[in-house]
Amino acid sequence: MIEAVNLCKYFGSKAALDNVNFKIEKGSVFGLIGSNGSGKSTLLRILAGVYSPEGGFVSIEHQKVFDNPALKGKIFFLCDTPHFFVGADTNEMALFYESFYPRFSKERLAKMVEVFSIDPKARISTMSKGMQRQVALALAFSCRPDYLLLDEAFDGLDPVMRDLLKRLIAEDITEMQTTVIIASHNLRELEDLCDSVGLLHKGKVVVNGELDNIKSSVHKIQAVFKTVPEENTLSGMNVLKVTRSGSMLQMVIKGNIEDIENYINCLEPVFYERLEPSLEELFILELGGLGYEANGITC
Amino acid sequence: MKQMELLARPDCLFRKMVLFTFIKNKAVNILGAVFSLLVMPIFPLALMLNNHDEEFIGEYYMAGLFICWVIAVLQTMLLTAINLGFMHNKNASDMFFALPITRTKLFLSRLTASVFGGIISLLLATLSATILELVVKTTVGVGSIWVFFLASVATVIMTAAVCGFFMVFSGRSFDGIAAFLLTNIGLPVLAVIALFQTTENLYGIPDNFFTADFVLGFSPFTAAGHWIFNIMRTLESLNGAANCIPFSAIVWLIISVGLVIVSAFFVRKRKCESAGSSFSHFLVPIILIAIACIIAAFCFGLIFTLDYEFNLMFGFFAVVGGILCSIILGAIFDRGFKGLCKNILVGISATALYFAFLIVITTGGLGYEGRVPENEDVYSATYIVESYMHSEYADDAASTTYTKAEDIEGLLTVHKNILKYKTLNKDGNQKIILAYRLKNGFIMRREYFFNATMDSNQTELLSRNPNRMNNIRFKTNENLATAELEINHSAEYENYVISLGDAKELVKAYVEDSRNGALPDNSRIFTLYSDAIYDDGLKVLGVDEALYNRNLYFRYSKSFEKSMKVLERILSEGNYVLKNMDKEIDFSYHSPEQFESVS
Repeated sequence: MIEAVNLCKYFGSKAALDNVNFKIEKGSVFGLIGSNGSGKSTLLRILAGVYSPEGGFVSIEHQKVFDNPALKGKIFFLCDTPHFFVGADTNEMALFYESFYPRFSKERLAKMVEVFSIDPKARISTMSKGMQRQVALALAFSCRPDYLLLDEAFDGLDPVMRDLLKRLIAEDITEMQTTVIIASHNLRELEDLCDSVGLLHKGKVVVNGELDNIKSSVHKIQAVFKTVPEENTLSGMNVLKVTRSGSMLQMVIKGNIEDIENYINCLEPVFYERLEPSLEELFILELGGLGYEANGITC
Repeated sequence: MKQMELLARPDCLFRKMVLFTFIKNKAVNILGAVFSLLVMPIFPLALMLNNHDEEFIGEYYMAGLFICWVIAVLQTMLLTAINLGFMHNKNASDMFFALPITRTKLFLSRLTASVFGGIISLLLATLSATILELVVKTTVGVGSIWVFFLASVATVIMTAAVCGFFMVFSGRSFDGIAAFLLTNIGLPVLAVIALFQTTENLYGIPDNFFTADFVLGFSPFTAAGHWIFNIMRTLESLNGAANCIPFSAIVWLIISVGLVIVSAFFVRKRKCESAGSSFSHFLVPIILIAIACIIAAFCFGLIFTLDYEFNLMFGFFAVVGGILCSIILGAIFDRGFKGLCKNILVGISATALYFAFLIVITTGGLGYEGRVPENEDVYSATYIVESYMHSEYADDAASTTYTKAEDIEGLLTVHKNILKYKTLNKDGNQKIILAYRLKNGFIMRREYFFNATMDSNQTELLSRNPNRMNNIRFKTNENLATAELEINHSAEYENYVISLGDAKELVKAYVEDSRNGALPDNSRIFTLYSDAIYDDGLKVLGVDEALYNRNLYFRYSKSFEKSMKVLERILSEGNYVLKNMDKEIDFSYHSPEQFESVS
């Protein structure tokens, strides 16, 4: 289990992480989402033992991570721009990781090389960004870590490779109970993959929990009225967003679905239906509530 | 399972990292080895094949070994920069610091790998030189070659330690190199300025405190180079005394160990996010800017006032220099003027610190200048008047030590008078050294320059002290074999071969004159060139090799009446006339043949 308590990290006077608290169960996939500069990468670096927190603590298996080689042997951190040695090929990088990660599997690497169609003897620096990311992923999976930390994992991957990556993660979770933390702006991919998510904004956790629970607390209702009700008649509900289109209202409402349905029925709609809000909509709504929305940003 | 545990062992990871890094550095290591082998043994072998004199082969291959040392040092600097450069790159530091190895071991393993390449290059060169030495058999000897090897290895380790330190404390390689250069050049310059201004302004401070070795001790690479040059020099002179380690090198060997410990400790605390910024610790640029500002303050003061006296004009230009330097260097480190105010503040603070130092040394160095010990605290008191009477090459010929309270009191009175009137001519080329051995075990030493002619009234106090004269050990060589007299008056030289009897009589007369309080004239010197007989207990004057070790210098004046009489007699009997004594000169020198009959 991964646990962060009152985690703080400052860059100069700016707080990159400000009292961050969360728990991630073993064998789950945790999606780390947030606005740009919200502290996602910083959090992953702390979890990987690259950064040392300046306040609070983070523990994995009840041990501190920073400068703990035994624990770090179980963690693999793939940063947003993977680093490779100058002139190195996949085999050389594999040799390097093999020296440090006790569970490194050559067989797994061979499989990954085949799956990703990597030429193991080709210089990595000559490869495209997407191919370099595939090499990095192949190496990461070959290390067979208990904790896989992926920063912008889907960046530069084509849809097929994104799908492949999701399958590989699922395989690892099934086979080895790997805990995966993915920081990404690609919410569509995360939605398919994550058991739980954490939404960060300006170094603080805005939303944290199981994806299903988060989704079940926010409801998207589409209703058609003979007479479209005034906005103040909706004040009885926690309406996050309303869109009008003729006599149709599309509302995103937070709260208990039964209470919401009772309230809607009282407004005598001609017709209404419940829609599934997407992670992206939740993201925009949550951050919009904090004043972070495209409409509020003037160009 | 056991294999897995073994692989996970931290020490195992250390070795693996060293090995992996060493292999990764193979291109640089192979180049270093190839260059070293080109220099050693190919260079001396080529000279031998081209029929160069075998006598000089030893020197050739010592020169070759020196070049190999330079190659090894450069190789180590380059490898340290490459191997620890990951700390300056965000992506690379993400990868390395996420590895399951402690930061300290990561740093030390990468540093160790940096050292190996240089050592292997040196080893190859030394083995080649050894084989060559065994074949050619020069006077250098295998032992000396290996002494050189050990010193070279030590300096390579020093190189890695210093470079590693700057890599850890910098965030970008450029700034690391700038810090490295600034430290290696700036610190010795700062030491020179401090010592120069102290000796110039603080009345009585010993000038031998300002030694090259001390200054070199501030710069790791000059210290290393000094050591290597020392060895080269002793090996080239073929006296086999190559194992002399200069003080600065010892200092830097200790400091190198300290730097490795500090770096290994700090690397654990080092913020990875400093990759890409100038330095990883906020104090580093402040220290570097402060060093540069003090140097700039001194230089501006000196250049614009053509003086180094601390006055208003000097102070004004020093402030201008300090602030300008802080702005320029700050802009280089910050890549702009974002930290302008902070940098100016550092510049002003550094200049203020420099002024504080100047104020301290120009106002008596916090009591240093005016300090005269109490008689009851002094165990013994010694004074030396250098360049005063006897040989410049004599060690303690003119030193006098008192242990009796009344004698010590006399010397303390002289000391107090010197301080009271402060009229001794600072620019004089002679000096009085006062050294008190205190009862608490400390030695208090003061030195005052004077001019024998201009300051005779004050120095007379010393020279007329009868105790002093009785204590002078006239280190004349009683077992002279031959003697030749040279009289130098106002830079005109006259040489005469004289008998041993005359030489001894002259010295005896001089000693008596001295004890009677005769005062010498700085411009008059007579010298006895002599062939000494080396008997037991007989010490030949001087330390300078070959030229002066048999010569006795005497400064005299007309007040040396007995000496003058003997001189005149010697010269008149030999048909010589003493020049500048208002008599004619007869240059009828004794020939070498005559010398035999005289002796």
